[in-house]
Amino acid sequence: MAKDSKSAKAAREAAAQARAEANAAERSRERKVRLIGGIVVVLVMGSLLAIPLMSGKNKSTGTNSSAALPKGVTSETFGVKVGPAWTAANADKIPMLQIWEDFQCPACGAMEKASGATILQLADEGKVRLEWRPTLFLDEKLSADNTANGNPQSSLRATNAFGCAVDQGFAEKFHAALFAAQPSEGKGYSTADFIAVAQAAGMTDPALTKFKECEAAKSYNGWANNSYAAFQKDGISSTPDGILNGTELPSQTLFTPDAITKAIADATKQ
Amino acid sequence: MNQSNRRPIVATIFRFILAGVLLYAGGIKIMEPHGARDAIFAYRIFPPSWGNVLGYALPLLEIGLGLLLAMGLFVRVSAMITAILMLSFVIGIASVWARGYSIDCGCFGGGGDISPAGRAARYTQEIIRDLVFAGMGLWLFFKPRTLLALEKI
Repeated sequence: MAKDSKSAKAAREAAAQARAEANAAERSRERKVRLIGGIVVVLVMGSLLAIPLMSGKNKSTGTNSSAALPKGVTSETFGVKVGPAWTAANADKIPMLQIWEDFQCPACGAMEKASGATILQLADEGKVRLEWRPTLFLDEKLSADNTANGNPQSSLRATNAFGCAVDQGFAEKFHAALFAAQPSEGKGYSTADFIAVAQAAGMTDPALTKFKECEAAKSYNGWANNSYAAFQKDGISSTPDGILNGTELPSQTLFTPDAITKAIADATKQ
Repeated sequence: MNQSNRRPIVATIFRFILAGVLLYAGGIKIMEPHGARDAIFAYRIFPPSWGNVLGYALPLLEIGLGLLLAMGLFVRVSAMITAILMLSFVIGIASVWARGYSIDCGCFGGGGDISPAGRAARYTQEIIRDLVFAGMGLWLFFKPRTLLALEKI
């Protein structure tokens, strides 16, 4: 009896030890799996890190200081300044409204339709220092569609044409006509579109001929890219983006004629 | 026995759904690093200078979490981080909404609806979606035992 219980105890101990060993083996397997799995994940993430770093390298959009600038544009902002307020004696008391826009962006076209005329009128009345700041971020996004429609880099080409119109003194009218002729998203602008827009804006010879030459020579591609670089540097992402005296406006304000008029009036009082 | 058998099935489904979502979201972001960076700028929560770092880090984090969940490793921790990530997306969308910004300018084939009503519907939809994902993450955090996992709990 005593012997039996002894051997039973030994058997229990042996079983317990076997279990402990199995557990230890299981734990060690578990550790190994976790370690290897963890290393694999870290390696995959590390190799993926190379993708953006590499694609980022050939896309460094720096400023080209030798690029020609349209009339009145300075390398400070690369924006097109509109209206008499910029040169007024009390210019520093007049609010400054900077609008980032991409000529291909449907929301920019919608804004132009909703409040563009109001803003332009305020600028013409000298109540606001209006500056149009072109960006080209949709060229990248719409690259496939633009190319398929035979109008690659439409934002760049539209901005170049805009610069040429600025030189001829048609900044405001060309700007309005260009948005009025905005094609559906992705279709892009053709060169013929730009000439039609210039004519719709009221441009005639000799200005029209000069405009065509300037447009064909891509005279202001460099300027357009510089303005785009400023856009990226400022960290703007969506357009249209209105900045009143350095403060970004909610789109509701930007799109509503009464609201933008009030915002400008309020900014003037200070 | 029956009940404890059912639970891992639900948790397993959630695990693979989250893994798929994270791998997909991280994948499209990493193929277009500028897009991810722009999206982060668009939320206007972080200073612009953070955009680049976050634009690279976010897709990597998503892919890392997605891989771990797909393999069934460190499920508890990964699920918790995923839930926190999803909840921070919810906060981001809600804050953008509250501040009156229209993030999707319609420039990316997103419909182009900039009317307040369209925006509300879109934001609501995105918030609910991310809350569901966060819920799945929490479920996995409390019930990390799943089938077809490398780790045995």
